[in-house]
Amino acid sequence: MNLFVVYLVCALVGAVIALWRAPAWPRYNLLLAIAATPQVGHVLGIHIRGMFAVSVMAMLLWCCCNYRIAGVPLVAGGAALNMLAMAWHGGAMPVRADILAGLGYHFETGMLLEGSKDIVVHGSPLWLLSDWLPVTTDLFTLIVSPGDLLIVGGVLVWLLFSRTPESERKHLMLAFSTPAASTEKRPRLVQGQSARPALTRLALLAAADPALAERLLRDPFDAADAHPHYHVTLDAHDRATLAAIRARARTVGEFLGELAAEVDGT
Amino acid sequence: MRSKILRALAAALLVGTIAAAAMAPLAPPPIRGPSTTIVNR
Repeated sequence: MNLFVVYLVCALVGAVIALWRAPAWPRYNLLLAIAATPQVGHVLGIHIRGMFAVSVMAMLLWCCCNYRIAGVPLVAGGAALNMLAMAWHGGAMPVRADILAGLGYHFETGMLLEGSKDIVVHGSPLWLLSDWLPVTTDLFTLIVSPGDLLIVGGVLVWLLFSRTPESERKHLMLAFSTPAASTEKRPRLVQGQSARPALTRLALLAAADPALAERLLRDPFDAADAHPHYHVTLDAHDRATLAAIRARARTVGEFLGELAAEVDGT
Repeated sequence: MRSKILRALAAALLVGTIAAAAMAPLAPPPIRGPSTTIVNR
C-alpha cells in the first residue's frame, strides 16, 4: 500500500501547485483512467491477461492527443521507458535482487512484490530502465526508474510552465473591460453606405472587440493606427471627429454610441 | 477561490492518475530493527 501513498503525495503536490497557477488542461483524460485501471489492479494483485496492452494503448493515445502541452512529451518518454521494461517482463516492473539486497531486502528472483508493480529479477537486458535508483531517507525508501524521474519532471513542467489560453483570455478581458462598459447596451450600427468609411471600419472593429473599444476610449488615434490585423487610415476630418467624441464620452458605451451616430450621420 | 479549489482537486486527480498509469516505483516497507523483546530462558 506504500505505492498508493506515493501516488497520493504526487496528487497533493499537483494540487498545491494548481492552487497557485492554472496549467493547460489536457484532453481525453478518460484514456488516463483506462490506462491506470489495469495498473492499479496489478498493484492490488489482480492480473488479467491482455490488460497491460490496454494500459499501454490508452497511455499512448492520451500522450498523442496532448503532445502539444508542455511536459506531456516528457511524461510520454518516461511512460514509454517504464512500459518497455514492463512489457519485457510480462507487465511487471523489474527490480534487481542485488539492488534490493544492497538495501537490506532479501527476495527470491521471480517473486512478484506485494503492493507494487515489481518483479524481482536476477538480471535483465533492460535493467537500465528498471527500478534501480534508490531514494533513501529516514522516513521511507523508494526505488525508482529513469522513466519515473522523467514522468515527475514532465508533470512538474506541465504544472509550472504550460499556459492556459482560456484563463489568460479571461484575464485580459477583465483587465480591459470596465463595469460601465459591461452593463451598458451597445448601440447597433445602421446598415447601408456611410459617408465615413474609415470610422465605419473602426466602429465595426470596436463593436467586435471590447478591448479595442476600451483602447479607443483612452487613445483613439494610437488604437486606430496600431490594430494588429486591420489598418485604419484616418483623415483629418476623422481625427477631429474622434477627438470630439473622446472629449464627450466617459465610458466605452458612450464612445461607441457617439461613433455609431457619426458613422450613420444621425 | 472556489474555482481555484476545483482546479486543485482536478489537478490532484489528474496527477494521481498519471502516476498510477505510468509510474512504477518500488516502495518497500521499512526494515524493522533488531527485536527488543527480552526472552527469559
